Amino acid sequence: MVWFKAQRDAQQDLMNAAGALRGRSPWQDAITRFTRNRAAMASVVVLFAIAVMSVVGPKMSPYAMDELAWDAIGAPPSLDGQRWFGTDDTGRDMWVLTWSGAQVSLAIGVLTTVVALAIGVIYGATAGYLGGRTDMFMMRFVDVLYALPLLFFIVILVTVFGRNIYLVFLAIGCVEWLTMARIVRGQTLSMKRKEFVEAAVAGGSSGGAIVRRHIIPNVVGPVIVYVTLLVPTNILVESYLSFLGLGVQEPLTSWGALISRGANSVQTTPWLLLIPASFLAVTLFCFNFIGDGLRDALDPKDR
Amino acid sequence: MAGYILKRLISAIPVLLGISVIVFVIMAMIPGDPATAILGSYATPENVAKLNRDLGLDKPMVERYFIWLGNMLTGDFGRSFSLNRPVLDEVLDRFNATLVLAGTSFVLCAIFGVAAGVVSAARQYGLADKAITFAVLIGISIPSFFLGMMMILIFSVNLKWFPVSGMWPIYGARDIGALVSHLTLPAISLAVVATGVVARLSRSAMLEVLRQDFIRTARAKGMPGKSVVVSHMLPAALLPVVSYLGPAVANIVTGAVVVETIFQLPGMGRFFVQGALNRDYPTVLGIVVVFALAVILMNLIVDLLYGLLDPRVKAGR
Repeated sequence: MVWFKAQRDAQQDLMNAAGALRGRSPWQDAITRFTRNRAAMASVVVLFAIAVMSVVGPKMSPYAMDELAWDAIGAPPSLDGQRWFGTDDTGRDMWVLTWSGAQVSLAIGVLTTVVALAIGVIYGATAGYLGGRTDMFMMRFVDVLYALPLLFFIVILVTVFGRNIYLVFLAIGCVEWLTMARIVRGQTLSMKRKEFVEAAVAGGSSGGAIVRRHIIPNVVGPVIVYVTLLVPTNILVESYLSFLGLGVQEPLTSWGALISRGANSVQTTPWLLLIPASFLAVTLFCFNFIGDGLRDALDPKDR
Repeated sequence: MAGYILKRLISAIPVLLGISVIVFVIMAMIPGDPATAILGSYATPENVAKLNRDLGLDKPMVERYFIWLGNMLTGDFGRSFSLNRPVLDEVLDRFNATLVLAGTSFVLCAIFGVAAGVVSAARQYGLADKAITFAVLIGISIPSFFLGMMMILIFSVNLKWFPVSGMWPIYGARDIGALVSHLTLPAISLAVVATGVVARLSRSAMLEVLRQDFIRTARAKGMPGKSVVVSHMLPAALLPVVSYLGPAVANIVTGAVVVETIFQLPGMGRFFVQGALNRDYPTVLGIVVVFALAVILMNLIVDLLYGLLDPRVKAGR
């Protein structure tokens, strides 16, 4: 249905362009479709705002992250004294903590996804491109890892190698690449056999040109969609880890770590839980909305 | 059928071996040995050496692995370093709680996820569809521990509808009613994310099927709308959903670790984290193997279900 609508809109646009008929690439189409998705565009704005605040936010407050205010322990959020988000049970300023936590949570979400993306794309493309027995062995290994509940694996890695923040990045990334590898492999395999690739081969295109012009553009779509869905997944995994006490350690903090601390005193000082948890939920929500919008934009037949 | 099941079970053996090797190697790379972890930092070197000998940790890693493997094949998973009890007993003790929790959530997510997906596909772009899509996105974005804590706060602490934690009442009968009231909140908080994913999958699968020729044929024959949905569309649309249920098991089990911690259920999750922290590698290995076996079995069941739903798969076997 949307496809028909998109086509009709496209025709309309062409007619409006009155003579200035220029072909539109699928990417331009996708961008148009994405910008028309109001929920996704709103999510982009909100996420951008959160990202900016994670950098600017801590500097706006007169308080430092590790500054203990003995006269304001567990103060509720208020405008006077510039305690916008209140203070925690040791008198640290929640505004500063929340935005510093945002920095770490977002960084973890993005960096772990980059690690997963790198491993997954290289692994999946190799398996799909080589095919045959190599492919079988490589994907069998992925199956082995799939059967292992992944959080267990991360917990083992983190307890064994110490609770270092870089290790948390690496552990999550090393574990979350499996689905990426499967997606890339499947796409590569099916693209290899498509008629237009055959036609390109018959037309005398070089191998590099085929990969660049035909394989990559067709693989990139699903990968982009999966990346936007993987970022929130990884933020969530980090918050699980922090909740279990295995994630980011003091003096650094993350939303997960703040939530875990706030959970202990939810009856008396609920804002310690509610503020970081709301930001976490809103961020995940935005990423999921963007992922959904991208899926619709890049793969119109899916809807 | 029996041949197929047997073949799948045999093919699970290398997978289990692979997993146990990976975990064993990682656990063996631990800096600082379990003996020191057990005896504490004031232990004399002689005592540490003796305990290492008693636990069999003085042997080379490869030899240790094969000893462990040989014992495991006879059903002996070794003794937990920290509890000094047979690992298998301890694991199975806790496995029941995890199994009940994960199983309930699994059933919940399958039923409600598919129902939501079907309704929202049948009313595409209608009010119900928009409401469900929105609810699903919110559901996917709420961390299960946050949801769990909020539900405890609202339903247990304020409204007192459900107990705050645990699996059984401390005093009183351990009957099914007690179990249900203890497990309602944990099962819901664990099921929400998976329900959302299943709903999304079944919605897009239903929409995909909607456009196919055999649906048009069925409608052209004059088949009433509801029966087309139930007898033609649903089986076809369930295929991608069923194939997600395999990974869903692994996800739910992972989530169970966290949910068990919040609701203080006597499951494997907390036990596992403690085991890893104590460098208690027989326990960690035992839990991983039992879990992997459960996931593999679940995947087998899912694949068998897939065969039942899709006649094309049977022919290809």
